[in-house]
Amino acid sequence: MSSALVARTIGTSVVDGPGNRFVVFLQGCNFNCVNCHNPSTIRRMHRSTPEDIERGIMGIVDQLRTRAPFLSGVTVSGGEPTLHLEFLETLFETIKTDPALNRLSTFVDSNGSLDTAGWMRLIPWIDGVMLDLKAFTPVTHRMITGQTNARVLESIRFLSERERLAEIRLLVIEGLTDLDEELRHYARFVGRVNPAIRVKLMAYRHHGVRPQGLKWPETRPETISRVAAVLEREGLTNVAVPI
Amino acid sequence: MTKGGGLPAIDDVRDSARRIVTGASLSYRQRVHQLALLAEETLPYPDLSPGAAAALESGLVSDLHEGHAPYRPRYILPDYAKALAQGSEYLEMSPPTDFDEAITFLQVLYHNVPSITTYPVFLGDLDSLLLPYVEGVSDAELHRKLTNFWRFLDRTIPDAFTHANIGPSDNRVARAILQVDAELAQVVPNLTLKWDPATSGEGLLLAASESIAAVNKPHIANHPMMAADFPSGYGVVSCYNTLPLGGGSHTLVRLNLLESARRHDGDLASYLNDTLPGHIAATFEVIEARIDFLVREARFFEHNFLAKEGLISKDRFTAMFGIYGVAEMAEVLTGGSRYGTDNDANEIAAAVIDTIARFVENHPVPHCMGNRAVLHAQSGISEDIGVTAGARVKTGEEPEIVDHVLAVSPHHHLFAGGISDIFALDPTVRANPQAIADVARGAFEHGLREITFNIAGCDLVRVTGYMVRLSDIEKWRKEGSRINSTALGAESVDNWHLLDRTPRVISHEFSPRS
Repeated sequence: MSSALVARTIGTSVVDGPGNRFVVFLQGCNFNCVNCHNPSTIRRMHRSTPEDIERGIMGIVDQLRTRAPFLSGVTVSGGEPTLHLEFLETLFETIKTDPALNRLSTFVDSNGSLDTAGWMRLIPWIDGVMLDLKAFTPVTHRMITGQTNARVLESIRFLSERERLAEIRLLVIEGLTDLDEELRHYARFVGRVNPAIRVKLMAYRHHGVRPQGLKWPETRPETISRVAAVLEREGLTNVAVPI
Repeated sequence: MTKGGGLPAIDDVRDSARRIVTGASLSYRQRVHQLALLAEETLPYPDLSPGAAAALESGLVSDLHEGHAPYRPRYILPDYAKALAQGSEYLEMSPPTDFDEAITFLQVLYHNVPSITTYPVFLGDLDSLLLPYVEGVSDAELHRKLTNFWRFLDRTIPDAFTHANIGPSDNRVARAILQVDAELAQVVPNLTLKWDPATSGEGLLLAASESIAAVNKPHIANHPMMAADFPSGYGVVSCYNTLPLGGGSHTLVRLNLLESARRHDGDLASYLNDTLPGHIAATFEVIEARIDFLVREARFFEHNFLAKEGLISKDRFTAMFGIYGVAEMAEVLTGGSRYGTDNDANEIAAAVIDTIARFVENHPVPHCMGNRAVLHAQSGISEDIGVTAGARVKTGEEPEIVDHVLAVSPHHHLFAGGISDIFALDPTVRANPQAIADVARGAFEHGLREITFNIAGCDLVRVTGYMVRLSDIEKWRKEGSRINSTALGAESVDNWHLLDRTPRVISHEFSPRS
């Protein structure tokens, strides 16, 4: 299925949250990450109409009727899915109020730019949010994503307090986000929020990055190990490294 | 060697014997076994009509190298629980009284179970067999004892068709077996979890999924479906053959549906009404001739101690009617449509499978449980080239995993004798074993009889049903292997370029034994 709102769906994914998941990719993002692996979803669409939303949700729910027994849940990704708050709210409410589907866990894969008023609307219908915190130092964050990270930090605190924070992802770029000083600040911030939260380390790859991203090297396995060790030394207890 | 025809010339036999005796890459036991096969093949094949003999000779029908003069059933599933309870007079063993004695008892019994490979194909429902003896055995002791037992099995039964079952109850022995099996990553034993969504619990399924992520085992059986087909007990053995417990299968004879379709000239209706029934009849004739020899000439059930002591009984043996090449048959009969993807090919496959299933259901076979054979989607042998195993979708044409399940699940209920569609998963699933459990649960809810996963990147890979270690295959080429099936796996690897393929393709390798 594809439309101006829903860029595409994947019926089976093992890498978008716990268990086997149905994944919906929405169109449009307010970040501009150097290493975006879905660049075609960055472009913003026109404001979605109620018809767009209804059609999108019906298409997804139709597929879920057959596929639900094979799934742990549904993840909405992007783009930045929270730009379509009404769609998200309606989709998750539909799932959670349908007796055949409410077993499914509902996850959002987000850049964390939504404000707390926005998250408040989703809280009743979502089970978890997987958030990118690509760097702690604002200037570094801006170099990678084009945006500052104040909102992201606020989202992490807010979602953790409401037990909706499933995972934080750190993009390890050598010479940028693997510096000891940066990692200490990163770990202390996360540790204050919840030291047991899962922090997933992402290796930086050249595949798909834009030309300006080529100046940073691809992450070596030993760098990932070192970063994990630093974060653990700073008190984080659930650091996941790529297999 | 000829089948249903003349006998081999003595010079040919001598040449073959010399090759076996002097073959560089055969172990001592492999030489002994092959010499026995050679001797058996100097005897004439059981009497067949000219039509059935020709079908066998041409490869339309195949007995999978069972030999000319069956003197033991192909698959034997002794009632080990009964043996543990009553002991064995023949083996001079009293019923065991503790865990160590139970293990020794089973080891002795395994050594004395005949089969086509000389090694037992079934080791029993090991968790429920051992559970009565674990009281007072600590978790650490249980782990150590099972580890030793598992090593014993792998080193003394070097045959990957050997199969242990666990489940459907969730218990500490089942959990310990899953853990030990994943830690040791051995070819033997192959392992099946009987899983019942209503009673086994998601925890056991997740534990099994964690093992699958590590070693591509266990295979998972839809227990309610199998128990309904075999209300007085079943076991899953060899390459996912489901057979009655306390019995087994006299023989496995398979019909090559690609060959069958090629020999047909006319429309689908005439294939279903005229051509196919003739080929089915030839298959049954070979099955019946073999059983007749086993029961009335070799008199297996009259002299073997397993039968005498009630650990097996003839009336709990069936016969396996195997089919393979469903994918190519559908392609030939539709003039090129793809089974698994195109509706017309799927419909023809369904019609053919239905027709065969009806024949198997209605055709009396003497000396079989309920006087009937069971239908089996046979997973191929290493020498098969260009014919897809069982009722699998053709290599490389499988739809996405859920669509794949939905495409094959409608006919799974017809294969009481087992069907082994194999589903490939990306290595990233290792970090997320819950996803494996999710797919299995969904598959059973949609009527799949059993499910096997292959995840690329393991040293231990499945060549259809049985496991081989890729590192063993490389070693075998140089110096021979301790394990019989490694050579067969190597042949499959060569014929099917297993090492060059994507995960999906590895999962569709063919097997030398069902």
